[in-house]
Amino acid sequence: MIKAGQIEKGMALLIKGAPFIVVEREFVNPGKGSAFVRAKLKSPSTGRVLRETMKTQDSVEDVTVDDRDSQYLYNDGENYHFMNTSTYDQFEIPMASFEDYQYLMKDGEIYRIIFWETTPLDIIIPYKVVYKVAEAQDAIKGDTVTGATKVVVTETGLKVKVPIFIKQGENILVNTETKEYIERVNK
Amino acid sequence: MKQLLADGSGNIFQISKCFRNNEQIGTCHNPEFSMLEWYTVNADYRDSIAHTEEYFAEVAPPGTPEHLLPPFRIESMHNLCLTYAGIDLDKLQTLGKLKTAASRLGITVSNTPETWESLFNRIFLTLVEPEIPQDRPLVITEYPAQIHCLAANAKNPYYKERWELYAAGIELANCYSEETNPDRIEEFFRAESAAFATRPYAPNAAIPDIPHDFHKLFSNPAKPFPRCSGTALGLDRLLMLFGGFDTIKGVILFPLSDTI
Repeated sequence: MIKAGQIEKGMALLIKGAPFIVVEREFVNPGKGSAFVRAKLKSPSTGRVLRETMKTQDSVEDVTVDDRDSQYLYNDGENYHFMNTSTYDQFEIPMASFEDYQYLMKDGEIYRIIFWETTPLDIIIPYKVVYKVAEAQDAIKGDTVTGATKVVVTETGLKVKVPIFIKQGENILVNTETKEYIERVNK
Repeated sequence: MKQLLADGSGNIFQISKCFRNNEQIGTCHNPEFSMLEWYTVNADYRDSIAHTEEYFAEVAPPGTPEHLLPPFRIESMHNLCLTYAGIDLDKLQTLGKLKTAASRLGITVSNTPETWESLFNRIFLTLVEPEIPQDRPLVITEYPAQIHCLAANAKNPYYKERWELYAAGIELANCYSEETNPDRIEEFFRAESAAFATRPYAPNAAIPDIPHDFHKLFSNPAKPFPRCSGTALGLDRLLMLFGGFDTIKGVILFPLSDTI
C-alpha cells in the first residue's frame, strides 16, 4: 500500500482487483482547498482508460512487478508477439493497450517488459531512439526558409517532422514520448 | 484590501506576489506567482464578469485566438454537473446522497474520512473539469455553498455568489460577491482555523491564527462596509496564454522548475 500522493507515472496499481498502469498523474488544488491526485490509468489487458481523482492521503494498492527482457517478434494486427530472451517463452500483448507502439518498436529488438506475476503490464520504450528514415522527399530547390520542415517516415512507419536536409537512408534520433525529431545521427 | 474598502477607498486593485507551495510545479504553476486582484464597490459577482471581459478585450494583444477572447461562455456549476456527470446537485446536498451518486458514477470510495466538499471536488475533477468547453473562456458560476469561502450566499442557499474563470482549460480567476455579514465572517475564520488543525500538513507547518478583529471591519456603524465584488486573476497564466507560451516558464524569469 502507498499513499495516493506517492503515485508516479509508470507505476502499476491494483484498482478493484485489476492491474492498471499510471499513464498521467497531476496534483490539483481546486480553489484553495486540499490537494488531490488526478491520474489517468490504463488497463494493459484491455486498453481501457480510467480516470481517478484521489485525496493525496488515501491509500492505494501498488503492485510488485518485475521486468524481463523480451524480443519483439511481430504484430498480427491484434497482438504484439514477444519472446522472453531467457526462457524463450512466447507471449502476446494486445495492441489496443499500446496503440502507437507499432510505430515505435523495431522487429527483433529487445525491450524491457514489466510483469505482474504472469501478466505483462507495460512495454518500456527508451526515451530516445535512433530510427532509419525509410521515406523522405528531397528538399525542394530554392526552399531556404529557416526552420523549414518536412515529414518523413521511419523504418517502423512513424511519421516525424524533420528539418528539410534529412535524406532517405539517414538515421535520426527521436523522442518517443513526443514523437519529435531531436537530431541527425551519423553512423 | 478589505481594510482599505472598509475605510472608504472605493474601487481598488493591486498586483502582488503570492506564494503557494502545495501545488504541482509544472506547466501552469510556479510557487511564487503574480496575482491581479481588484474590488469594485456597489457591484456583485455578475458585474465582475462584465469587468473581466472588458479587461480581456483591453489587454489581449492583436491576433489573440478567439478561444481566449470575450464574450465569455457562462455556465452554472449546477448545469455543468448535470451535463457532464449527470447529477443534480440540488438533490445531493447531504454527504450520504452525494456518496451514493458518486459510487454510481464509478468514483472510487475514499478510504479516509471525506467531507462533502472533498467528494464534490473529486467528482468535478474527474468528470466535469476535463470535459468543459474550450471554444471560449468559460465562467463557472454559483459554486456550492458547502465549499466554504468568503462569498455571499446566492438566492438559492445551496450556492454562493462566486465564479471561476477557465481559458484553454486552465483555471485563471476566482470571484465573489463579498460576504459582508460580520457574524458569518467570524464563523468562517473559526471553521477554517479548526480545519487547518485537522489537515494532514507537514508536522511543523504553522497553523494560522484567527484574525480576531477582522470581522469588526464589517460591523462599524460609523463606516458601513460597502457592497462589493472582488476578483483575483493569475497574471502569469494570463500572460502565458496571451503570449502563446506552452508553459508558465515562458513568462517567469527564474522558474523554480529550472532549479530542481
